[in-house]
Amino acid sequence: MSPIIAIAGCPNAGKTTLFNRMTGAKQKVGNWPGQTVDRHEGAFSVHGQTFQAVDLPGTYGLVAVSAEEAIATGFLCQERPAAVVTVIDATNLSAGLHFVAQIAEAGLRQVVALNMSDVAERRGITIDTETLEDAIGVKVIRTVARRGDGVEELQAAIADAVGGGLPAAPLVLDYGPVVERHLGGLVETTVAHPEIHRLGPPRWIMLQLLAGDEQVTRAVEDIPGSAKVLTAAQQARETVAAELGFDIETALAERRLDWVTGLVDRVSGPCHAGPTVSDRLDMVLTHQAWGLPVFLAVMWVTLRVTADVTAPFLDWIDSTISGPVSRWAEALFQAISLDGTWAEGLVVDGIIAGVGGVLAFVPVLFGLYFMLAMLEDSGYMARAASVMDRGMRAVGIPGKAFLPMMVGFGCTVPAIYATRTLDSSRDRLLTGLLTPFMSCGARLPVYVLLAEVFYAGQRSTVVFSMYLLGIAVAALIGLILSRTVLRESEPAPFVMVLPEFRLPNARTVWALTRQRTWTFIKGAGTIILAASIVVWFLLAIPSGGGGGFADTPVEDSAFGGISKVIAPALKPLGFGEWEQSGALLTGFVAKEVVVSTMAQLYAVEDTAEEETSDGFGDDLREIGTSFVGAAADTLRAIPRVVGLNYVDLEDDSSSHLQSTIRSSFDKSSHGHGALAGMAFLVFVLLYTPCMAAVAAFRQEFGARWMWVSVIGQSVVAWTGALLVYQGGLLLGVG
Amino acid sequence: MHPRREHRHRERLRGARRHGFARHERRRLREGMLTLDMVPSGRRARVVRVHGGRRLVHRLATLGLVPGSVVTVTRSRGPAIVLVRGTRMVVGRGAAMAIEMEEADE
Repeated sequence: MSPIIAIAGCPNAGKTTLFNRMTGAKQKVGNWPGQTVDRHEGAFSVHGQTFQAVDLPGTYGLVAVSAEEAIATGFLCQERPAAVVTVIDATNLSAGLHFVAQIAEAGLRQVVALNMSDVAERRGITIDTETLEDAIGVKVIRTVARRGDGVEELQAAIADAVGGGLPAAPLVLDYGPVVERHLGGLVETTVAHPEIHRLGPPRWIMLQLLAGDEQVTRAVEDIPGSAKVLTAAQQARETVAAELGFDIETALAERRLDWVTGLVDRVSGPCHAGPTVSDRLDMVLTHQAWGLPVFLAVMWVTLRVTADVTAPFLDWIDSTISGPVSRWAEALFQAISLDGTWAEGLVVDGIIAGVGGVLAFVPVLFGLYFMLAMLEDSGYMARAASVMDRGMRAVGIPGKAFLPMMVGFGCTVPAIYATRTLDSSRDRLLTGLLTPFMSCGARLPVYVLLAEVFYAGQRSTVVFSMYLLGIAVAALIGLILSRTVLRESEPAPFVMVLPEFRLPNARTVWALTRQRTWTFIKGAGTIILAASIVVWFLLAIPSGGGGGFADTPVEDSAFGGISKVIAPALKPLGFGEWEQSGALLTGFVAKEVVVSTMAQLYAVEDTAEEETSDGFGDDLREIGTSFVGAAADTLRAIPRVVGLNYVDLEDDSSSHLQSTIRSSFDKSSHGHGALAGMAFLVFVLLYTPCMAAVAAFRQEFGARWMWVSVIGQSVVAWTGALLVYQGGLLLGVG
Repeated sequence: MHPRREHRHRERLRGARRHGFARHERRRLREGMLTLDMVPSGRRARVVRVHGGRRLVHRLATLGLVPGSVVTVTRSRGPAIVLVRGTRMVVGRGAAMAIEMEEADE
């Protein structure tokens, strides 16, 4: 097996960029065991020898409190990689060396990558790498990960370090008389337990136990007969804290930082630290008064780019799937004389339509992810979080949670995954419970259709108020949950590093965008596809009534049967017709399906003219031209992004369908169609987004919370719609 | 301050925050103590102690802010922006009020 190399370091030191440079395309993304933080692995070879590289989560230290730290510490102590590449930011030497010291104390073979050395040079920061190498006894390589400078030297140094054979001598720092006295005694207790030595140098293990590191504590617990060591460590922890008058973690960090400060003074020349451009920008971007308008403007542009620029591609995918691709499938079935059978129905109406539904979202998500990756890599996200922190804290979630919330306007599934960036599991869960209320892109067609039917003149107002209502409901639920079930024992402090502003790097942005889009296709795609097949079968299976398999009227199908069972529960909300409940039922698969189901259930023929194809070649040409058209539309959309004109919502619903919907709602609400329509929209906004979101939620937070979320949302939606409908009736509106 | 008195003082402060005392109440408790939010912008000051729970102390320590660290305060109003050993960070108002400072003699 090839030796494992861990890439470690502080966030924003350029760790991932360097990892990408080192491993090229040979990468795979997985999950850490039992964790949902992405685990990136890749391989590279030097002189014919292959090395396995693992990109550890960015952390500032090795004492585990957050999920990321736990992973890094757990990996280093349990798997003991052959060598660690510690990536440090040359413009922020102290933070980097603090990390280097901790790796060196853990007795791991280490190579230091002094990254961003070009920026440091430009700023007049000089670093004497030779003195640095002598002081910590490891190789230091200057790198510029963005350009790929120094990567080969780094790889050679890794090969040397691993090939050297000798295990690294752990760095020993003096922690002062009080700590050292207890430490000496503790190290002696480990002599009887050789297994402990396998985790790392005993002195380091004891330091981690003293600091209260959960990962190392757990690893030691697993060793039989180690209870004594743990008790001794726990006692020492308390005694030391009492003797020092403050907690031991601070004491350890203080000593380590003293050592770092001394070292920094020795290796770096005089620093000319005036306010940088970044500093001046920060004064505006995080300002109490100016920060918010700037943030809103940035988000506005982000959402507009996502919506407008990608819309033409969405249409292109949609028309390609429903046009040529479906026709080809039909032609294929004809060729093998299976046309008109249920198999054709399954493939064309079930599978192809399902795949189309998934693919239609890809351009929008790609656009959103691209914009967010640009913002992340530029360093703006930390500023945005600081602007949002105060307001969002009021409803119990940290400022950082605005990112998943933003993603939620595109699609709930990636939004739930995006909660991974939050610090505590409590923050993650609460944010995960709230993101579904952010109105996702799939709900938009439903709003547009019903607003067109009932509020033709004020379509934009209706659509916009749905988005606002979603935010308001999320804030209300957050307020309630954070004061009851998810009460915090200790208010989470808001402390965040502000990374230097920089131009987004094309490679990094591309890697992030591609990876996240792919996660969506894999995760949500398969579930939406499976669910649309299930719905097709429900529609095909006759229940009572006439007709055979795949040849039964919708009303008599299993699907119709289920819809009729649900319908009475929705009667108080003003939409108790089985067609309406049926449409909502398919909404569990994906929200945009609600519209097409309505069309189908009201037995309205698609008004789109039956396109005739002149053959395969023509189809291909058509796909090609419409793609070019989409690209042109996209270019035309870019200047509109900064403009203020409201998105021109597409109107592809036939007037026949509209009048049918109107009469159906009028019937179900005894003449209060508009009010019932509004209640229906509120219901669509608030109930479970889709199966894929539920699956994502389950993967992240477990089955129990999944049920809480699903049932909670249904209750909220039902109550919300009830309030709108019955309240409206009382007030005599509609 | 005598260690025991200080301990009691800290407990009181912690309790006050947990139980959601009004801000002026907390300020009264902190009377006579210079905290990060009070350091004028552009000034340098030294950290004396972080009065807070484990999460805050740990977070600040990993970022290099421990007792003895000299901090350059870029801005103290609203969320504070400080420079500690080359690391620029933003510290929320609540956390800033919990960081006891003293004037650095420079």
